[in-house]
Amino acid sequence: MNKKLDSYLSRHEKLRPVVSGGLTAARVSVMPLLCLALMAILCAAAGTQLFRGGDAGNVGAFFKNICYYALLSFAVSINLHTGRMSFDCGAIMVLSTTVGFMVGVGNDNVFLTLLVAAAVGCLLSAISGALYILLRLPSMIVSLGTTLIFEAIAYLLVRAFAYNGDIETIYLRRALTPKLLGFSASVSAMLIMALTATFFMIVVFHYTKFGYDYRALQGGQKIAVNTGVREVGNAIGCYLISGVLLGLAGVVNFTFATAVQPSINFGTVPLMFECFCPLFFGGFLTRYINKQAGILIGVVSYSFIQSGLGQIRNALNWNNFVIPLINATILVLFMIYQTNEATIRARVRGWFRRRREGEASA
Amino acid sequence: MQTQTATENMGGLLPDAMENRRRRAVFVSKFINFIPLIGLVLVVGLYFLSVAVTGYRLSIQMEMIINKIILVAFVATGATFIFTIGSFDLSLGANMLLSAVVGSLAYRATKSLWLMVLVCVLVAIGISLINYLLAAVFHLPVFIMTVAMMTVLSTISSFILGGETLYPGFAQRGSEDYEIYHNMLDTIWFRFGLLALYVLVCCFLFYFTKLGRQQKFLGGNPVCAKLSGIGIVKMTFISFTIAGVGIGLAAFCSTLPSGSIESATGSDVGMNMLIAIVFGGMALSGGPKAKAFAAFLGGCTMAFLDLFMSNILSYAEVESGKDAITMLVKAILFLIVAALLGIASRSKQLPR
Repeated sequence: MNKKLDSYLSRHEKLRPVVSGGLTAARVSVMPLLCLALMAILCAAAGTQLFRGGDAGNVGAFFKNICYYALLSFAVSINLHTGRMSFDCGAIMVLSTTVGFMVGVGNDNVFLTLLVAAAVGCLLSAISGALYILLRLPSMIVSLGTTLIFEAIAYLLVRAFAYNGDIETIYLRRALTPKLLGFSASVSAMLIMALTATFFMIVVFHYTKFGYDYRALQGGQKIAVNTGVREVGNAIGCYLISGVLLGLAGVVNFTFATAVQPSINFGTVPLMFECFCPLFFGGFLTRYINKQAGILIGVVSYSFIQSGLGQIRNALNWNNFVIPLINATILVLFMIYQTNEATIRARVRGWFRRRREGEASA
Repeated sequence: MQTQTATENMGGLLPDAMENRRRRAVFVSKFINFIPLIGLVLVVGLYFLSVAVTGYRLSIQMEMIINKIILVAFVATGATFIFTIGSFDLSLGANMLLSAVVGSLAYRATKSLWLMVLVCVLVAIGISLINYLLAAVFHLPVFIMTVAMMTVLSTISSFILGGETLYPGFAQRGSEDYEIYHNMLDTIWFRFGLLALYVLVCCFLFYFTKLGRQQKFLGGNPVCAKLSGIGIVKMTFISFTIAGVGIGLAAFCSTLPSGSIESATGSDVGMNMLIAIVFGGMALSGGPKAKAFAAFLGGCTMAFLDLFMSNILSYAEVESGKDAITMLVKAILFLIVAALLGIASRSKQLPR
């Protein structure tokens, strides 16, 4: 059965090694190096430095960004790349972290908070997946409902447990003990989590039957189902993994931000959009390396951009609205390039050819 | 031999059983079409019951209901044309906000209400066409592209507003247009009339001209539509333009209740219109079963449901988390309605 799938997959999506050879390594390192160089130059032009004098806060934010974007990108990509668009990723992140922090109140234990958040994330994602499978509706529609439900539960939970006179954010802030606050600022913890998540994703999606089935379904749903791939089991697996990653991503993000603000009426939806840029960077790199490693490198590149823009904003007193605008512009421009790469390349080649011919005739 | 083959094809069923099954399927598919309407009647009935029990003033509540319906129904009715052709746009709420901001600035500069309406509509159409260009000309993935556009548009609006409330000035006593605002624009009947006119024009275009048929054909099968001579680019252009008109009118209406605009105005319209469309009985994937009237129907259902929940929660003296409880109920009902509507089109494979 797997041999059949191998031959099928080889036609639809090549199984690429993590990094094959020096040339590939050089190619994939161009993007982060380019982002690093560009941001270093822009920071210098703005009269600041990318990592100003080894500023611990800035370095910590850089590695926290790597960990957070990696976890979020992996979580979102699992379902997004199989055509299941879910709006509830942000809501799962907020609700699982809220429950994690509630358990963490009085328990100065990072692992317990992470464990609870991951377990709740897994449960919520499983509910979302189960509804998708039972109702047989596009996940986009199901997730509209589940987003509202999870947001409302998070909001009601916090209001129910908040101390008298507290506003919601202050209650959850009490859960943030020094250990929890130090967790997301710890470079080693962030690196270990990001690398472990990448390793886990590579193993699961490239070296297991689950991963083979996933890629078969991704390439051709009907053929894969007809050849015996269990689609429902695979989808549930995807939702479970995605939920765990979202729970962890929530803890990383909200401990660094020192607050989690439960919001209603689709207030959590924009949270998941933060990973689209790294996902597209990663998608571009899949021509050289496998998807998960590509996403990690895309995340590193994007984190350089975020750190650089943060420093420039501080140096030039930019308005808070400028960075989201730049991020969205980068995303649109990169998508335009990636989608029309062949046309752009052909036009550039044509321009150079005409120029050479012009010089030769002159 | 032929009868035997036919029986085998129908899973070995006898003709009577086959006929019963066919009748049942026809009944279910017809019944499903009426679910949104039945839902609306039920919710309206419950709402009036809640008003009778609580004794709240109906005139004030009707104004609140119509204000709730207007923004979502304007945007969602226009968006129906986009969804029908199989396209998608999440940035409509942000588009509405930016159009309202630019329109308000135009009024402040010129003191002309006509120009304000025109600017609102033109900006909305312009932004809609930028989305169209990015989707149809640059072939960008529509979902991600509209998400990026949503961020760009809301950021520009916030940048212009600078965290403050923008007052165009027509609602202030002593302004040239105060009388017009007070006697006409600030009445719910004017806004509701404008919405009714827009919905009727959209329904006419959708049901009584070849535009609607072509759009449904394009949404159902783009390849066949193209081979039949339907211009995909032209149809997409028309869809985004009609949606732009609706967004522009919604932008104008959004400034009317308070005579001002702020960055939170219409922040939930972009997502609520998706819910309204589904509540109204239309699939977001578009195609031949698209309905131009669905958004209006769904918008009404949502508004009456919100007020019904608000009434009963107030009556039960639930003060904390009223909005969250209302949302919870709305979400559960939304999933039930979506599941009922999806009964007829359940596939063996998981939908994408």
